[in-house]
Amino acid sequence: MTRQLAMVIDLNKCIGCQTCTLACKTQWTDRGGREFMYWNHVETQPGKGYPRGWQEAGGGWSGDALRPGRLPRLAEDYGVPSEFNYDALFNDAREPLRPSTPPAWGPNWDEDQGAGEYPNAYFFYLPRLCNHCTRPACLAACPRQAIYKRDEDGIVLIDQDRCRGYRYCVAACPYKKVYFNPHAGRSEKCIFCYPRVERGIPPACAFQCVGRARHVAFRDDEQGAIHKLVDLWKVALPLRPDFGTEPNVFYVPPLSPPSFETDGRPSSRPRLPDDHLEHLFGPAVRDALARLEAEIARKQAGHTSEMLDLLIAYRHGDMFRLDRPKEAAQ
Amino acid sequence: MRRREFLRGSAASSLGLAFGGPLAPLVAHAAPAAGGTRAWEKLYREAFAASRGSSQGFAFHCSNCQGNCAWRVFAADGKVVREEQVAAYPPISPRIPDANPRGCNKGIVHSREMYQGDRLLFPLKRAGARGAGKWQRITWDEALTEIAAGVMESISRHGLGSLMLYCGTGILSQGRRAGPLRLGSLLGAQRLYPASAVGDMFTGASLAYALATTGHTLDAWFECDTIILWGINALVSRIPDAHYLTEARYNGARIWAISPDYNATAKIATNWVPVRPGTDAYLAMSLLHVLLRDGKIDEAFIREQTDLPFLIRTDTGELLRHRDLRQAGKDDLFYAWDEATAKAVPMPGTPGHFKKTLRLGDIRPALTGRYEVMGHDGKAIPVTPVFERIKAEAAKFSPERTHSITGVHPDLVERMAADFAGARKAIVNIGFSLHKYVSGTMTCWAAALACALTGHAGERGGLDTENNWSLGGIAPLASPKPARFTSGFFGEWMNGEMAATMRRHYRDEHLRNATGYGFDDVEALTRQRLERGGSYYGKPRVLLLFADNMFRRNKAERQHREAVLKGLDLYVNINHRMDSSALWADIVLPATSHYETWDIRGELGYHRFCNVTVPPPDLRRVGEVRSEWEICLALAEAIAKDAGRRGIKTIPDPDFLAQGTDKAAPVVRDFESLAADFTMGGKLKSDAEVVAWLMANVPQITPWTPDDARKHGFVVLNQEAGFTSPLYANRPYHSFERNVYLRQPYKTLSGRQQFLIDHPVFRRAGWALPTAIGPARPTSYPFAFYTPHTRWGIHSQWRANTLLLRLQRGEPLVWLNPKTAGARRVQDGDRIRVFNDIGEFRARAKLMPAVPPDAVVTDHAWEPYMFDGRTGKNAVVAGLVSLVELVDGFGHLTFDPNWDGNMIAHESAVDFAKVPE
Amino acid sequence: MSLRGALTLALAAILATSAAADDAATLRGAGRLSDAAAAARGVSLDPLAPHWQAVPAVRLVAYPQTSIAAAADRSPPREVDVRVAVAGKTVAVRLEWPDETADGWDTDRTDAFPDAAAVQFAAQSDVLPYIGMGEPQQPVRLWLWRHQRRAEVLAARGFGSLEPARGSPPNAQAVRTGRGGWALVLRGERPFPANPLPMAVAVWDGAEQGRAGRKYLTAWHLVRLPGVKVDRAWLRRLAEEARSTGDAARGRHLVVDHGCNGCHDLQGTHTIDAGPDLSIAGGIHWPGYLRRSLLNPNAFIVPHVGYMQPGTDGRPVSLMPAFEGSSQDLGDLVAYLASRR
Repeated sequence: MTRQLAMVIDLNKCIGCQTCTLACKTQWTDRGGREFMYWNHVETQPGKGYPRGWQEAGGGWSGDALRPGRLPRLAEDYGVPSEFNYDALFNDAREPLRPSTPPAWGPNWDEDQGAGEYPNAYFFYLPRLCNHCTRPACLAACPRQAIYKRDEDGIVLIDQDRCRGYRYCVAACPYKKVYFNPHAGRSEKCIFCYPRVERGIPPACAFQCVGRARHVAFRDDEQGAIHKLVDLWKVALPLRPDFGTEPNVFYVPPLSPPSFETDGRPSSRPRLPDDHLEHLFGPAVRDALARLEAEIARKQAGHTSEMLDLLIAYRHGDMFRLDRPKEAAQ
Repeated sequence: MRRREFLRGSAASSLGLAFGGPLAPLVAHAAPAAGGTRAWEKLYREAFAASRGSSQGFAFHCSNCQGNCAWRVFAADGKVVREEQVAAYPPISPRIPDANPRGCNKGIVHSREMYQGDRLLFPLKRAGARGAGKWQRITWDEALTEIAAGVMESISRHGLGSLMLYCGTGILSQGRRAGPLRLGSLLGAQRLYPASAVGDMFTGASLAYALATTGHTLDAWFECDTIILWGINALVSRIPDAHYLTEARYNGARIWAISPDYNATAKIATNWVPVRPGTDAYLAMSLLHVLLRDGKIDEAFIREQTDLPFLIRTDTGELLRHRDLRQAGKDDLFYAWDEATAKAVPMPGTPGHFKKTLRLGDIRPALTGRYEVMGHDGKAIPVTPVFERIKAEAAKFSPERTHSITGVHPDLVERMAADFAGARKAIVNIGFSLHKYVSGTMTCWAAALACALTGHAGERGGLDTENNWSLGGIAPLASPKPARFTSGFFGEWMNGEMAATMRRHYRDEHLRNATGYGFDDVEALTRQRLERGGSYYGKPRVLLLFADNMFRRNKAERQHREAVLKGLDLYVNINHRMDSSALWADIVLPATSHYETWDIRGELGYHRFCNVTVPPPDLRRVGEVRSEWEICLALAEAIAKDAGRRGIKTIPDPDFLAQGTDKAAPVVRDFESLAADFTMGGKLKSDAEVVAWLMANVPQITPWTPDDARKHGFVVLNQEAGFTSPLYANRPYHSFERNVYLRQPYKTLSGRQQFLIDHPVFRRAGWALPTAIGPARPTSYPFAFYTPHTRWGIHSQWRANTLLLRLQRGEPLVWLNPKTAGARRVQDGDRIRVFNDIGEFRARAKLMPAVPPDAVVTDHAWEPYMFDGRTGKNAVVAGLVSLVELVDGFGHLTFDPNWDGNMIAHESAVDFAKVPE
Repeated sequence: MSLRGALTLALAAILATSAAADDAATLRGAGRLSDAAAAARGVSLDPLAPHWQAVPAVRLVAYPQTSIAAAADRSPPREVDVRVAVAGKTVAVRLEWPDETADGWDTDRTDAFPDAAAVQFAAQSDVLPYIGMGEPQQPVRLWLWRHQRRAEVLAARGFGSLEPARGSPPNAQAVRTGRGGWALVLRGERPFPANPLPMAVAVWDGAEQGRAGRKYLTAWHLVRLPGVKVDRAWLRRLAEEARSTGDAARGRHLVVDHGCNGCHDLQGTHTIDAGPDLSIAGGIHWPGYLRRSLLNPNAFIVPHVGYMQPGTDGRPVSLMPAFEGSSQDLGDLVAYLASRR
């Protein structure tokens, strides 16, 4: 039976600092043609995200059929990873330090932009990585059967020996979290840091999250945060459940301060429009937010809340439960 | 089975048209891949193993960041391959979230910064005019010899004060900073006060407490009922501690974020208060207004802990002093009206009182009323408690009245006041941005007053500028002899001849209306200050600049740079990278970066951990870099040698007196023994020895040793580390517990939290008590220009980092509200010119609905060399100082680390226009 | 008599009356065999080298693969001129085919695919393997050229099983032709001893995002190698398959009668996909393969979820029932299918 390692990312604790992005980058993707890849990144929502327009790029399931998807373009949709003319600082008094090619897009291009109209502007941060789906469209789309889901932890991997760089997986992933490495000629993606996990070290993005926004545990671990937040309290939801891939990364949806009436009076309406959140997290988001608010109100009234205490995470180490069998560790 | 039958079955079968669509996938599951083994998985396992390096050390990043986070550093083949947070800080209590994994987006890429193309590798000497970008590589010996000659030439011809040896905020650790401090102190060199040089003085807090930096460990946020984040975008500028805010919200805290833009912190707040830029003091006064109007005040607290019951003369506006009542009476003994005895009584705990306690005993000080006391000349003096004046002042600023100024709806102010007053524990954080407005002093002072009125101090919270630890015992290392300690903001104001840009950008009348002072007042006070001395020693002629990006930071960028360079015979920049200031140097010396030498940092009070850098044993330094300590030692040796050649053994320094056995004598600057003095007679030759010395001699670090640091990368400070409270092992740190619970007097002129300053300059400008002023921004250009902290640098450090720039747009950006931009036909990504009568700069526009329509905003500290023409954003920022911050020599308003001023940064007005690509 | 028995007898009769010497001519006439040239002093890699002009070209039609390619935008077939030269154990294949744009391997793009071409080789077998990368029991070897990448030698045992093969990769040299296409020479060690050597050609057009199954594919083609012994019996069996005697027009009615068109797309309408698309079956399949598939659908099942189900012993069983008609019907069906292209 396949066990599933899963993650909950609390969007109320994500501070948009991209430490996770860089933890991942320096761990895996700052070399070898992966420079443009962000196996993990944080994007501002609403926004076109990364790669640009990923939500409209197709992929995923329509019932039992794969939906067609398009391949993101390096320069236009991912953004060329810039190099800089540091030499100019040593031999030229005029030339400014600039990217060698003006970037057209990047992993955090629309940082803090969001939408709305001042003072009712709104945005929030959405960290994204491979969802290690239960119904991975990438896996289904690979004609080489180079993609598999590991029995012991449900991590979805692209066999780098088998991959021929056909990119059907890239098109099929509705989250556009598979990347083609044009130097190596193979596709790569988040590996849920299995080499770390196998040694009992949580994935870099989660362990190094300074906002303490990420919980990692097996889904069937009833003492783990994933089971409690996803199945018990139903306060963590998959991103774009309509894509049909059944993600194993879940999000605690974002609260926001109230918006203002036209005369500047604080209103009772949340700043983040419900329909945008519903678009991203499905209809269950309304109940999840209501539950969060109710629990916070209980705390304010001096009561305890097991759910909030779990989200608070008093001990950093308690956010990760990697109870792997010993023989799997190498 | 007939085929037709089969077909009918097939149509009903779930196997039917599985996986239709254009890709027509072949398989549903493959675990592992068909025919494949999982042997390939070793690929990433090996990559992971390589990222753990072959040897390991610890480090923190000793830049001007208050984070102070412990990192594990992995090295292989002499190079750092990766860093990862230590994430092993022990919890202090089961009720409080722990501090892990501390460390941000900058720290995590420092290893990449180390080997980046802007890293300085060798000593360089300019091969053309200053700033021409032509360099030649020289040897360390050549560099040291030339510098020593320049130093001795200047000292011998122009005096000791002609040398400035300044270590800026690029290094704020106790280890690496010690070298420049020690050498400068032995030589009697000028050094700027860094906090004021960068505009980080909390003068509002200084007025109230005689402490600029005060507050809490930030885990104290967690148990608050109310948190007010005023001009502080903590989610961007306090990344390692921001989780205490989000966790506090889950714990029931109400968070109020006050800022003109809807920023990351506003996003996680329970309420955002969209105040117009520079009008915060009005908002603060309205907060006081509501508290006082509704009587939501803690009278017992203010009677005992503040100067609010002190009597003020209604005839002169001065506090009633002992000297008013007795001929030749004391200047520092103050009175309250005792309701019990119906007479004015001297308040215990004021400096001139024999009782050094705030305990009132039988005194019941009145807060209201008008009284008369008999003066020493027999005339009646009309007096009233300060509280009456405060109330009258606050009464002017109802939320309804300030609404049109601040843009903040009265309902919001009322709610905030109610939340704040009703909180068992509330913390008001004042960000570094506020004092970069002229009104910052007032906003902060009023916020302090709000805390006082509601009794928020000690475990009930209170004002938080930033907490620092008291690390005693460093003086013998860092300050063996007195140095020429120079006011940071005043020194830069004078050296940069900044008054010229003030006159150009502001109109005298406007400034007077907005702030209560004009050009003449600034100039008069400047003259007084120069005459008084003790905080400025004239323009330096030799500048040895360590870790300071002076020409990036200062306002009126070009004006300041040209004025400073004009006076310099020799300018040496010691740096780990080529920054905008190093570009203009005569000689550049390459220094180690954060991982390449031992270091220790423990004075930052956001948490209680003292981090230690222990370089990985495998690590090879890049190029020919040397640590600051090694550079200073080599300089000491070279200077001693040059002095010997000139026959100079000692120079007496009459500016400073040293107490001998029976009489004071001038401090002697000893050149012959300079190197030996520097190393304490040979004891301290390396950074490792310096760190060991600090660990052994700073009592707050007891009992930890370098061996503990080698094991953990950090140690925990003990109970003695707190300035105004003990640092309890199992509780967050709260300030003023010694005052509030033990009734020890404050260090202010009044001995209490002080909200009336009767200095003539304060009175004349109308600043004697918290009130609303500003904004000083001129009306000649339509937009406010302000520059909040960036997420992408510690000021200019890391600002040019490749990995971080890839997470931005690769070059400087100006944030514009889409409506504002649209009116000038500017679209996202367009190149624009931002200009005013001081100058202009160019950058790309980024349209942000979150920024107010009346402002042009850019996240600060882009290097000027990243802009067209290498002209940075400070080209449009005029020099300006706040008048009251020039006051010196009045009680606790006397130049020292707790009383100095700021260069005003956010009061310039600009316009912008699209420019062709 | 069982159908199988009848068929065997019929085949035997045909073979007995055929002249072995005509077999090559038969195959050649059907466009399924050509002769390689002997090159005494090695074979030039240069596609423009003059000696290639002396080698007669056979023009093969490469059809867009229908198994997993996007059906809706199927392109017209492309013609590939194939020339083969042999020197000892070295075989060189020169391909020339139209391709308007030269698309290279671009490390600055994630959405670009290079023009490519491959030659697929099979070993001697009575029924040549499934054209799409062989079968588990009948491996194939491939030489793959991709513009601006090093040529590779690969092996496969069916769809999705492609992997690097042992042995040295072929040398490759490609040039643009004046007619807007590629001329490519792939030269390497003869992969199988079979003579005639079965080979098939595929080309990919980068501009059409060609890769994997998105390609143009020829049927098996036999190349007779000079100076190597020919297995005449085998040649005869192959020739028999090429000698189509059935009535294609009648076969067209049979596919309706038997309900074949309920599962297989035979008209290129792309409305049905319960079995492999057969609308260009004649273009890409060897007649013997079609015959075997009809008689024994489980001999090789095209690996697609909808085409098979687990059998009682757990092994996959084709959803297609075995053909149970007369040998006449079988011949007509094969003739009809072979005409689909």
